[in-house]
Amino acid sequence: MKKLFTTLILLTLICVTAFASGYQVLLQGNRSTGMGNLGTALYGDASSLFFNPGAMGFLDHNSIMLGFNPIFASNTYWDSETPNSSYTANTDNPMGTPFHFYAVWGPDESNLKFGLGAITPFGSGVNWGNSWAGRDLLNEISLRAIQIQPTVAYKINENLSIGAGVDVTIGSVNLMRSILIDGREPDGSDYREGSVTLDGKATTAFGFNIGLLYRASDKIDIGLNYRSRVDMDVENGDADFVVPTSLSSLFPADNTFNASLPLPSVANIGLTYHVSENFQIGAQFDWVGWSAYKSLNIDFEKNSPALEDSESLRNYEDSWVAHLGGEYILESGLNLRAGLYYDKTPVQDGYMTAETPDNDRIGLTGGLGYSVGNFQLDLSFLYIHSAARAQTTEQAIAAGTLDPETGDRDVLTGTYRLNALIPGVSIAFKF
Amino acid sequence: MKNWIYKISSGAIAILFLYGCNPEIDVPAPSSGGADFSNYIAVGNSLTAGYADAGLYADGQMQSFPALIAQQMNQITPSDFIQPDVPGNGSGYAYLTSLAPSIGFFNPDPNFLDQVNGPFNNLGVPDIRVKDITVPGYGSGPDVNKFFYRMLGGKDPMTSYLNIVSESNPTFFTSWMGNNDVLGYASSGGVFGVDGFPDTGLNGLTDPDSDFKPSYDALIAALTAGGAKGVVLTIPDVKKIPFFTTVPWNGAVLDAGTAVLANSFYAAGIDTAVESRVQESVIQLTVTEQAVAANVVPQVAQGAVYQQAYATAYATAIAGGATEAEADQIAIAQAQDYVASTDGQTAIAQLAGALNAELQNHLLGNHTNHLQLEPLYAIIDNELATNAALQAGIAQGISDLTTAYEKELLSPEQQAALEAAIAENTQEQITLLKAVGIYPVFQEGPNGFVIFVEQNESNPLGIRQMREGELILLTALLDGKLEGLAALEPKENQYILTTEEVAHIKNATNAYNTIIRGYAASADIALVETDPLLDQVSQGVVQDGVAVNSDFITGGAFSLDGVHLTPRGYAIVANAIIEEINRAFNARLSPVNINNYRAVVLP
Repeated sequence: MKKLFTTLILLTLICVTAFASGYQVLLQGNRSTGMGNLGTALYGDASSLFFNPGAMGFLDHNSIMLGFNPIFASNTYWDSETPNSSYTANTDNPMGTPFHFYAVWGPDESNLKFGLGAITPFGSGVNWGNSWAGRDLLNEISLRAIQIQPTVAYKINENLSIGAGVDVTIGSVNLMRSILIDGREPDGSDYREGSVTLDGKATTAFGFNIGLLYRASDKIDIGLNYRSRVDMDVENGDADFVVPTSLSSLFPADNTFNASLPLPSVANIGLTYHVSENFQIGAQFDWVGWSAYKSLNIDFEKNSPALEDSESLRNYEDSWVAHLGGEYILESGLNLRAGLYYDKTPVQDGYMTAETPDNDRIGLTGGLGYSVGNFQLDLSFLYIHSAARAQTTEQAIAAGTLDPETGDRDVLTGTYRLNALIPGVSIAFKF
Repeated sequence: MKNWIYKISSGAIAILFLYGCNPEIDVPAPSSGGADFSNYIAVGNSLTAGYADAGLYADGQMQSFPALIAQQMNQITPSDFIQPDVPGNGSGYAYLTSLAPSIGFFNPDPNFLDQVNGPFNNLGVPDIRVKDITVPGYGSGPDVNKFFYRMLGGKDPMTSYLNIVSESNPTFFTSWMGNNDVLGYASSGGVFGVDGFPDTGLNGLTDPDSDFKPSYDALIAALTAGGAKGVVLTIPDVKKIPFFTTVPWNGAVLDAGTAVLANSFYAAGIDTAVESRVQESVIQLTVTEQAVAANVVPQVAQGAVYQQAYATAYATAIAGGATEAEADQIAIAQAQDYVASTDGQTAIAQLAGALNAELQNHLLGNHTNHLQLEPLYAIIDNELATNAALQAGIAQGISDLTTAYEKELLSPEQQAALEAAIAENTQEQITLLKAVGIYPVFQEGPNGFVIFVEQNESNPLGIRQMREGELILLTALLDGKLEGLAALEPKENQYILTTEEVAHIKNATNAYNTIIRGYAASADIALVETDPLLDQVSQGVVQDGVAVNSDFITGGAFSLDGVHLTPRGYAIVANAIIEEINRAFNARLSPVNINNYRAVVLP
């Protein structure tokens, strides 16, 4: 066992961030993660606050839970659109650090439960560096969204519980791109390429999360959950340009930008089947309202002929995730979990960008849970596999993300592939 | 039980580990096909050396097109590609100091002329022409060809370029030669002349048959001696490069006010010059006409009448049986009588009148309408040419009349008549000069630049405006000849290619290219046509997120000398060659990303 963890840690050191499609992050409880990211029709720990506030009403104890999932993700690019090209590039992504914190408390003998959660349901961190072929589109991006969710659940009866929470969303975005113009350093013969860094904090936004859990029988639980869309609006973010001095008037200093990024609504329906006292399996279907993400518009405070407001088409389509998973409790009390899920990409052909070079993904998960006294420890491991996805020049032109006349582009055509290894740990204190 | 978990888990991890950290994509492996890239040799001139911004410096050299191709070949056949590395600023190079544009120059590196030891893979020698290939001692000193000189470390100074190529033992080669044979002529405004034409020295446009072909034949023979395959490149039409296209022939673009100013500027100089020329000729004509009419015509007319009377009387006397001597006596007497008679005097007066009527016309060099008068005008011309007294009189007359006219000492009628004659003639002259483009005329909008030309009878001003099809060189711009009002001043020959010079360039380029294409008849030699490539770039190439065209500075393909390429431009050339290598030799050589290579560095 010890050796296993050593191996795990070594592996994660060898390699090195959204870990569902788009920039959604499905890592809000390591029991769920271990079970193929099931959660809507599960109950029994504090992560219900996120997965289904309704299920929180069935929690038979108070709990504080803290967990996180370091993400080791990597992307590869191949310039498959240029005949004979052997050009490839790889990301050197920073370790993603989604976390979750839940505190759930209910008065004794009450059907009410109150909770407070802090989660990172969306985020992304991709770093292609500043020398790759698509550096004009992206060097690196770091997108963070944190939701604070005060929640209340009410157990209507032994079979039905409902819950709701308010999502207070804060976030930030930092994006760096190269500008393919070389400028001479003021001191003489050396030169460097231009760049722009956009860095801003989102204004606080509000959404909600509602859910219901119905225990249809001793064997079957049904869960429903809905999380509303929240828009991350960045206002007066800093837009810093590094350009040749002779062009500085075209790229005004102290510039700011506004941008808006939707965090889409999600609806879930889940089913759990208790095969026996110590064995349950489940299935879940998520619908994600990605069609809200039409374009990424950057509105600069100061414009110039060379610096116009930009509209980059995204045209995401609504997508879905299907999960299967199970949990088996050994006599020793150790919980063994496994699962898989299929995550349909919201990114259509021609709209695949360097920040989310996305494809349909298959997640394979495993996990362990163990209780010692009032403490519950959950470990999970998630491997995400996706096939290589080619985006052709024709697709990009048809999508309007590549202008063959001017060379203006929102996407880099070619083939992308992603994989990720995500271990996770949660610790809960029950009282 | 735990053992079981352990086995499953570590098995799973092992599987994951096999995927590696970076996701795998199946990328077809590059391959060399029927070519052997183990010793790639690049022969050529500055374009092969990586010369840019009017210099060969380290940054440009490292991004020479052969270095880019070699780097791609290295994916297939690992081998070192050795260039005669220049230190730092190398031979010195131009850089942009403002977008105006204005250009500064970095000094050469102090060690630039230190010789380096080969063998080298990049044998690009800036300035070399095809006709220099076989010349012994071409690198014998820094004052011959400094770039070749510094490559000859440890070599006999008399080594020719061909010797070095022969020793290079290529398995594969590229050859882009001949640009300088035409460019040297073109970029100097044609001042060095054309081989085979008079006044042409060593720097003239190379003769295709006697110089170009034998040298290039020897080069190809040296390259292919060991069975190497390779690529030859043709010479683009140099007049399409920014050095010649940045400023159009009619690039003097003026607003209405400046056009008026420019016209009055030229008018001030030219009108006075024309008027003084006209005044001189009108006065000369007037005085000469008067002097001839007064002093020559009466005698000539009398002589002619006398001669005719004598001839008639002589013929009559001979017919009457007189001897020649008697007839002569009789004819002299009768002719003298006739000349003295009223009839004779009338005839003389009539003839004199006829001569005077056409005299001005004759003095102006025009043929008269009366053929029978021509012999008499010949006598008048002879008098004008030989009669010292007449000449002196005319000279005095011109001097007197000029003084009188200029000081307005003439009678008002005379003064006015002369003024009118001068004015009319001046206007005629100006109209004529304007019509043939010698007298510059500016309008609002684009106007042809004014250039110096040979001064002669038909072009007394020695200037004219440029015409469509003629080229003005970038050096005119960089030398500040096009700034402000200086733009309107006449330009020297070295800034201009005339229609005739352009034709010489075109003919030579075509002849060279025919020779180069001949080498590609061999299956072992592939061909890259650079002129269509240049056309493509001129119209704009959009690739890898960058748009490139052949505009000066902003286009991204050409460096600050307007002739040589930027690393980005060289990357485009490298890709054209790679594409042809792949086609001709069934290889799979990966092209380079052009956005990895810079355009002009901005201040």
